[in-house]
Amino acid sequence: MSHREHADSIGAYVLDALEPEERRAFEAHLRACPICRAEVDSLRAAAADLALAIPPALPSGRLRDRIAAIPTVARIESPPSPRPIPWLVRWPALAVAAALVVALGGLLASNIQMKSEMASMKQSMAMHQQVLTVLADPATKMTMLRGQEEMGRVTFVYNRQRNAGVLVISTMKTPPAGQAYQLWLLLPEPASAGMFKPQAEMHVVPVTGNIAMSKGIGITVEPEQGSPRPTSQPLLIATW
Amino acid sequence: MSVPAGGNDAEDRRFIARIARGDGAALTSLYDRYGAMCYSLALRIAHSVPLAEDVTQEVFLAVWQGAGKFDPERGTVRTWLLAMAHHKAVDAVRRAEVRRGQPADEPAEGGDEVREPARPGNPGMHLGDPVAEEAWLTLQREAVQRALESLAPEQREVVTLGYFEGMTHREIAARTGAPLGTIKTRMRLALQALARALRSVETDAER
Repeated sequence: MSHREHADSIGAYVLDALEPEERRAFEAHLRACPICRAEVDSLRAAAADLALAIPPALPSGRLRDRIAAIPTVARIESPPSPRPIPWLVRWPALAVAAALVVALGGLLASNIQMKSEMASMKQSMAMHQQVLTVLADPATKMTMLRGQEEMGRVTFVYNRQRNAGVLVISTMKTPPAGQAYQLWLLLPEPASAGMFKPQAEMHVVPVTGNIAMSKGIGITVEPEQGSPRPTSQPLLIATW
Repeated sequence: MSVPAGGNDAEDRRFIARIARGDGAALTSLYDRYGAMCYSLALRIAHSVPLAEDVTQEVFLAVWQGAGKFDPERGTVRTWLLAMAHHKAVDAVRRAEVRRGQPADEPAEGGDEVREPARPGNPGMHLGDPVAEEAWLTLQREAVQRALESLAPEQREVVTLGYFEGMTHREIAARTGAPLGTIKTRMRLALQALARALRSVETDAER
């Protein structure tokens, strides 16, 4: 495509009105073309001024809290991870950290088979330390499940090297009577990884199975006793 | 009138420099200045409070992670933020449309949000003096509206559908019945005309 043909796309590019492939092609040209870059910059300033014509809406205070939490949460998330997921900021950072400590603590506790109910202080300290180690591990990732997001907001926190993972259910609609949610690890065939019924408040569900080899995780609605194979399309899914 | 905060790019750049050094308070300060503007734009495009909040959060996360890469040669901080907000809002709406297989046209959720469409309210900028702030914003809004009105009707149409409705040039061609290539050309000419009109308004305002 000639410079002239590319330049014809400048306006549509600035208005974010190109189709994805067109956008990619134009951006490739843009990297090589200082003339188009200069025009993009000039038209972008004009386009941005259009935002001033919009009647202002006041965002809620909770949005400001989420923004203020970014520096904290971004530090918890591994900075060099390929695709940082901002969604965790949805909850106050402290509540999340607390939930994760509880969740991963539970997982690790069962992993190391703490038999005694009177777990010594030393043990619990050690476990706490282990949880913090998992959280601090750069290999620990978080991803938000996508799909029918009106059904719920669910984040998967996982560490494939350690074969550990928990679902953080921040909201989830109640399933129809006699049914429950079933988790599936994609291996890549779906393998059951547990069932859960949502609770009123944010809670965490441990995920059991071969997380290390999995390519994704999905949630379907199934009969309460569970299904050997998914019987419906996943409501929410994340792949990696 | 002293230089309003919205036009004080030098100060904005100092915020960006502090954010690039990991100063979290500077991120909140930048949000206080431009968060409502980004949010209002996202809400205008997405018609959904949760989506608009997510978009605004994504913008400021991108600022937190990319402040070091901000290039003042390419435009002001405000332009950078608003261009990101627009792009992310349009993206979010298109993703939602693909998921539902239909246009995302449900009305904005009321919830506990306070919306003030009529009042030339405070989009979060710190001029110190709320009256001066409101006056400045009202002037800005009127200036932009005048510039928009100065465009030829077919140019105003593509800018409105593209920028405020987040439509692609193909969708606009289908809606207006104009040939595909024509919309692209028209968008470019429209933005060039808008840039000229805004410059002349600025010159007028400076007396």
